[in-house]
Amino acid sequence: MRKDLSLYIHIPFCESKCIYCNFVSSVETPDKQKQYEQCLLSEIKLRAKQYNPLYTIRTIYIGGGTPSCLTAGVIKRILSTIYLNFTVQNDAEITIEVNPNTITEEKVQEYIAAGVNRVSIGLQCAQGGLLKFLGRKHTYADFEKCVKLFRARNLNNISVDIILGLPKQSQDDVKTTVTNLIKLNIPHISAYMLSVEDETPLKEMVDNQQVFLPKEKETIKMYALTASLLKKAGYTRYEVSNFAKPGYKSKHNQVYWNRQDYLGLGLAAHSYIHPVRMANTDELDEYISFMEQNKIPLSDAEKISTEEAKEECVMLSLRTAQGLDTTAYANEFKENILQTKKAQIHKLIQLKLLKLTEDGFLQATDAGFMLLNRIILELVNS
Amino acid sequence: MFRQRLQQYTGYGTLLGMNNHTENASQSASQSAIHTTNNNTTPRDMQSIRNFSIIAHIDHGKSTLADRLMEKTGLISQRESKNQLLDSMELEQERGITIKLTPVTMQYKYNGKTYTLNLIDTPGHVDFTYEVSRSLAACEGAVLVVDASQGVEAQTLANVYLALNNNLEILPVINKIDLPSARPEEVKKEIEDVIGLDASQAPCISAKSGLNVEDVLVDIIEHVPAPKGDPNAPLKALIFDSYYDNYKGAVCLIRIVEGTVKQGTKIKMMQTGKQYETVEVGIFVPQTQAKQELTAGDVGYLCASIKTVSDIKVGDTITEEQNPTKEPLPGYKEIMPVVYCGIFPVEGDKYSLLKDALEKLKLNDASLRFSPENSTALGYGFRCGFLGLLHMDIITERLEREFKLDIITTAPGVAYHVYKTNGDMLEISNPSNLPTPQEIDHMEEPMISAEIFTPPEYVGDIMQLAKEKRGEYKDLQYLDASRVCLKYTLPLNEIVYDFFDRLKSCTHGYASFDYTLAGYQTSDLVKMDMLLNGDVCDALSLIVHREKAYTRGRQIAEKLKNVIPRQLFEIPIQASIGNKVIARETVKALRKDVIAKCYGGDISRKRKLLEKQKEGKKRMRMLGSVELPSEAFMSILKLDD
Repeated sequence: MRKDLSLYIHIPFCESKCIYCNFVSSVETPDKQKQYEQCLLSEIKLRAKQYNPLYTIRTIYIGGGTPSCLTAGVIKRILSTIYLNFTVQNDAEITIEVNPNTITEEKVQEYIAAGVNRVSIGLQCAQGGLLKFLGRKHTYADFEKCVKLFRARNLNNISVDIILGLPKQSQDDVKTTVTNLIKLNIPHISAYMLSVEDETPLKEMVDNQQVFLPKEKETIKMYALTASLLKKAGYTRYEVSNFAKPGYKSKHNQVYWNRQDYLGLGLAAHSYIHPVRMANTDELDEYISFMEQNKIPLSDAEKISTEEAKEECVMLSLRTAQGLDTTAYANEFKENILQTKKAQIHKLIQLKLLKLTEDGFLQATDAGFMLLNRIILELVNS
Repeated sequence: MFRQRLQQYTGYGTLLGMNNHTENASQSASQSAIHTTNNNTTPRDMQSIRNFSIIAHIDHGKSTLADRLMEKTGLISQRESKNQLLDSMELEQERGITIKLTPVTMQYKYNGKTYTLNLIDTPGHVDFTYEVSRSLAACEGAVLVVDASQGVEAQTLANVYLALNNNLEILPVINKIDLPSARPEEVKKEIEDVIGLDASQAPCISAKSGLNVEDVLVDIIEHVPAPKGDPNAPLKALIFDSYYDNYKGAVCLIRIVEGTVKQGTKIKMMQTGKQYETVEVGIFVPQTQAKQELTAGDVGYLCASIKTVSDIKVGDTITEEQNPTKEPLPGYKEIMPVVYCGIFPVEGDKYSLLKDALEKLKLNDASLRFSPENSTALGYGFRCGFLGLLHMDIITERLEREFKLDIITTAPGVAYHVYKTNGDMLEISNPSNLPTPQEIDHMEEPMISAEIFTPPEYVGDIMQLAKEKRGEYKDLQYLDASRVCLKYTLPLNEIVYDFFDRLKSCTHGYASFDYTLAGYQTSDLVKMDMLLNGDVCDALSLIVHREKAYTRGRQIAEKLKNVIPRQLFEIPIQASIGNKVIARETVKALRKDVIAKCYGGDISRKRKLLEKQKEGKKRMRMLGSVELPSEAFMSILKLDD
């Protein structure tokens, strides 16, 4: 019996870097991109040898960087190589991340022909000025055009990323962005609160007081506003940042939150094949040199101990609306968390940060979602 | 105490290629005893012995002069003395202060006769006044080193008075005359005016370059009286110090006043009544050198399988068990701590390491007191008693540096006399142990007599400060055109708070300060508690004067507000006396702490954050329902505001 596996494919290239981004991605020459493609295809073949005999692929996610900035044909070749070397289930969810300005009719055709059935569009916000400030190369009109192009080819499983808590962003800006998406009937929305990462231009601007972040209170309000608008429009919040119309939850992301197996391919991609977490190197040249020698390009592999698995379970499940299934937890770890963390859980429930359902699920409340890091800290062993 | 271990000297000597005799001497007593009697021609003639100490203000060159004297008498080579051999404890070197040196026996030929010169050091700080007085009691003379540009300083003066009280011959020496700012003639006049000593013949030297240092040796021989005392009388020896040696156990540093002591002599400590059999006696050159006997006038060490330095009381008299001397030497005092604080490990599981470290320090420091203490906020730790603030600083720094411990020290306090309504008197140094207000009739606090020497322009500021610190004005003397001496009686608990820093800043560092304990005085004292979320935080409780409580309470509440991280709920902070709240602040609840996303299945980022937060949590102290980082405690307890 084959087990389920998800694939993550990393495309570490962008046309330009946005000021808040510290993901592994860079602006590279076409030659370098070509070289990377070759290496990535080699890695797919190499790792398929190990995993194909045992696994069926249920979801594929092509993320970045900006996968849509690749030249024509690359995505098709990547997916074809996957189909040739892995066993991909017929109705597998296959997602690609795109930026509105990089999408053309030809690309849409290519993706769909290659089997892509879900698209995640990076919009971030609907305001031109803000988009410019962030270093985005598209307008809101580009975004609308992009949506149309996919829909014209009957690709309706569309997700849109937006960011809350940007400098200069107002409550009204958020309201406009979310309302627009609702009007466009976008079935899946990821609303992330901005985190200012080290070694980004934004961090420098904030440190130098060139720009000011909204107050914490304002960001929380933006999130609450988003959640309530989407709720009214019929979306379900199934994870702290993810909202979906019925039938449109991302299968791939749920794999992460449920601690199911996934294999990450490409630069800096992470994998979890129970009970081992692995990370590919995040140095482009090192990755290329690994693949030229046909070696698995790992930089790190770590067996997750029971204690760490418990932590991950708490950490990931509490991000979801379903919450932590204490019965499943007890089965997996032979520990009744309702007993072992009784005092902490009691305190968190009293503070209205957690609630316990009748069927034994611990769920974060609205206020709790904002304080997940602290809640997790209370529920893991030190 | 604070003595660097002689083992270190031995190691140092070997390192520098000194002959191996040293090691033999410290390890095999009998062997080297024979060796030394055959080869060593120490004169037994008491007329050729000179026992002296060096008195100097911090940084006036005491250690350098000591090194130079050892060099001139051939005890050490120039190379060895380069780094002030005698104060090699890291802390001492760093602060440029010498807490205490070992005594050293030097031979010097003058006018065809070989003299034995015993240099006995005195600690240069007010915390150790009693020890200074005992060291001085072991001498007949003292070399007073005065910096040729700085002149006489307050601290020096205090020790000079101690020396004069011990009837010592004082020999002024003007040091650092090679500095461009040197003004030897003015300084000589100052010595005459301020101390009343004739300084006209004082050698003008540079200990650093060695200039005229031999004049000091000649001065000592010519002017310090030879010791008196009957070598055949019953043994009477003064313990002026002690230290711990890994091989020999606790070692007494002694000055023989009368009689003779040698290996096998059964001895008795007259104050403690403890009896021992002498295992080894000897001198310091500067490492230990065993001798067959020590006799009247000699300065050296005595080992008698004594377990800890706490068994040796500085100031005690050693006599023979069988043939005791009639009277012990005068001046013995039990040393009592003056300043107290709680010391806790930052991480609770380091308690036993802290205990080991304190025990090790105690091996060499009989004046350090500690007893287990349990605080609801800080967990298990120790209540420690010190001779003064410097002593406290040194111990806490050594715990951190030498033992690599992260510690939290509570605000320093003093011992109060609490008179209960039932007539009992309690000595309370820990605010948590204070009886309820209903049980207290009245309280007394320790007072000090303070002398503040300052340029006249700061008198106003100092008087203002002293007033604020509840000082009672006693006297003001103009010493000369540039120096004034202000005398005050002040409560000690105001001094341990932030007096030094305030004095320093209001006089730009020009004032110097000296004090002696001046008994207890009735005072309107109250216990002030700090409450977090309604729970008393015992580690922050203070005994303060009622008039000061309001300001202090507000300061601490404000500080707490700034250092307590926001938590899952709102935290009220209150300062209270009994049930009366005198200050109030609030730490608002935390609203948002959530990671944006787990990108592309990269859990490691999130894991790292969790690990970091867990690490932080380890350093947290629970106080009722409130989590306080140890760092917060430390910053609240720090004296500077």
